[in-house]
Amino acid sequence: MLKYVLKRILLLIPILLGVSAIIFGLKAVPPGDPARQILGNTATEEQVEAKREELGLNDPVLVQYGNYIKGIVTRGDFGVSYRTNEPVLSEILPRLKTSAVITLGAVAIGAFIGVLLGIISALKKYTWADSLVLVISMFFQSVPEFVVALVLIMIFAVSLHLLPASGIESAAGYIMPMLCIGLSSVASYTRITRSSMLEVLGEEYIRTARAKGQTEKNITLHHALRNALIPVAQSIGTNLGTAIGGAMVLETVFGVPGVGKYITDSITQRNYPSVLGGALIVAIVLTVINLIVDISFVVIDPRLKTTIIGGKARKKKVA
Amino acid sequence: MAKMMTPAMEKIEKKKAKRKRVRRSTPGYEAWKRFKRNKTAIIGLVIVCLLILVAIFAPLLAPFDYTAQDYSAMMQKPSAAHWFGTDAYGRDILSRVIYGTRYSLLIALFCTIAALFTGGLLGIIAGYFGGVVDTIIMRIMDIFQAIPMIMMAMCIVAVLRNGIPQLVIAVMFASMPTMARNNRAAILRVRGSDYIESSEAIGVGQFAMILKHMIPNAMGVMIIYFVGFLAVSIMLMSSMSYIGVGLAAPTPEWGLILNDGKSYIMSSPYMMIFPALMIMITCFAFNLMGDGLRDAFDPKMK
Repeated sequence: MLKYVLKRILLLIPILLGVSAIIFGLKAVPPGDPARQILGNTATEEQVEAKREELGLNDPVLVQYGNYIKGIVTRGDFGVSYRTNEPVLSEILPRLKTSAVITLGAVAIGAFIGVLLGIISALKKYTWADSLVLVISMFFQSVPEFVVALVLIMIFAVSLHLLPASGIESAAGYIMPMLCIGLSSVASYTRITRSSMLEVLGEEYIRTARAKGQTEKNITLHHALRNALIPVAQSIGTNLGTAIGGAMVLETVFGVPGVGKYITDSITQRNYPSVLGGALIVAIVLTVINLIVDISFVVIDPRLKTTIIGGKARKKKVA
Repeated sequence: MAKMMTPAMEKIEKKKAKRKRVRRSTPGYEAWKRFKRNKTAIIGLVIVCLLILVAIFAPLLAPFDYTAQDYSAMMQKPSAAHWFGTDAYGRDILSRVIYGTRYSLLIALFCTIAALFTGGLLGIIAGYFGGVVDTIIMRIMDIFQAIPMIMMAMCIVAVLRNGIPQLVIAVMFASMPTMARNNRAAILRVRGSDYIESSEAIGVGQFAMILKHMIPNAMGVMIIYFVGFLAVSIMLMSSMSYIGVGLAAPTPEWGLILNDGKSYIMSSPYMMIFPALMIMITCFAFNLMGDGLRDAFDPKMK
């Protein structure tokens, strides 16, 4: 077990180095001199040159990248916002909490509805209810979240005045963003639950339970569902990435002060250090969470160790 | 028209008919037969065809110029003259939505083709050569995939600024890892087939092998992903344009039209209803069609 955990943590390093290299590469793209961006148009050439030297912009690229990584690891230096002159990390940290609440809430809503629909769809397989569930969940998966958000705003905020159209001053403000992101992931949970339920329901021990005279309700909830949920729980890791992507857009739509809104605002302000620093922080958090999810499943169910380690390669060949 | 048939002619006719029948049982035709039986997929296909027609004939269908500003008819509700109403600059929303079909579909097509030529090609190379090449390419793709798709696209647009080519590049990079993974899997599925081994044995070159033997046989699966990616591109593009990180005004892209209307959502929600409906219908139609294609080309995959 320890070996597995260590191996996974070591594999994290090249991924994170790679991600930071991409972000570092993107930093070089925007036109204009970062030193001049910081000092403004009134600065003289000498001042700009001194600032360039201070920022290390005259060093070779690899040295710059090395310093960049060193800054992140030793000082948590993800860059300094052009607009506020504050470190990006300290600007992002309080916002991470808001985004985390929305993302986790969305995953919970999506998984709950998805599993529920998946069970219905598996129990009523090949009936109109099954098709209806699949079509509806696919609709929410295929339509962009912000369009669903707009429709919900028109219904619940503009017409019915039930929920606030933007902001999170009250807890009600969280409902619509969570619901929109959650709905878009329902389809993937429904599909996994449906196929895994169908598989489990065909197992021998279900027949045994029936033979023992267990009620259908008991069989579905206690015997089948508990085993069928394992692949569903595993898919949460992948869905987290999609949910974070959804939060990026919906925070802007609903005016929620999270990381997504911070990044989009910074893009409109051409505040590149904030954009790229923010993106790097989100990518790191996401990668680490995915690792924790994977490891915790192995702890819960050691059988998965082989399917995850060996399966990574095998799965890709088949999928 | 009764035509005298000599026995020889009949023979030829019969042969022709037979050839027709033989040709018809190609894998493509089989897939089409399965696809035809799927009602929801046909609905998707019909909607997609209609959208393509709207995109092609946009100049004939649009009643007004999509950029023409009419300050005597600003923010009008839907009426006989302006079916979908007008926006804050007095532009006809129906015309903008019709031209939007052209922009949205074309840009999505460019994005998907660009992703196919980068990610798809890398995936094919990785799948065909295997070994070290495969490992290197796929590990790089893993790195790209660590950044959520839309965030990747937004970061690229952030540094390149808004615009059509920039957006295409952004979506291309964002969808590259998934595209590579899918195409690699498609190639790996045919990689182990006996006919590939036979072609290798008779000395078919590497390029001929990939182009003539592997890609045609992996085509079905690749088409599924291609159609799927068109929908993903439209989703990404409209989401990004809506939050102001994508295309630049006055391009009549649906997300941007929604962005124009968002300040007036409380007073005149009609400005947003129609473009929103178009996005919904288009994405849903592409997905219905994609699902149908998946069942048709690859019944086992479900």
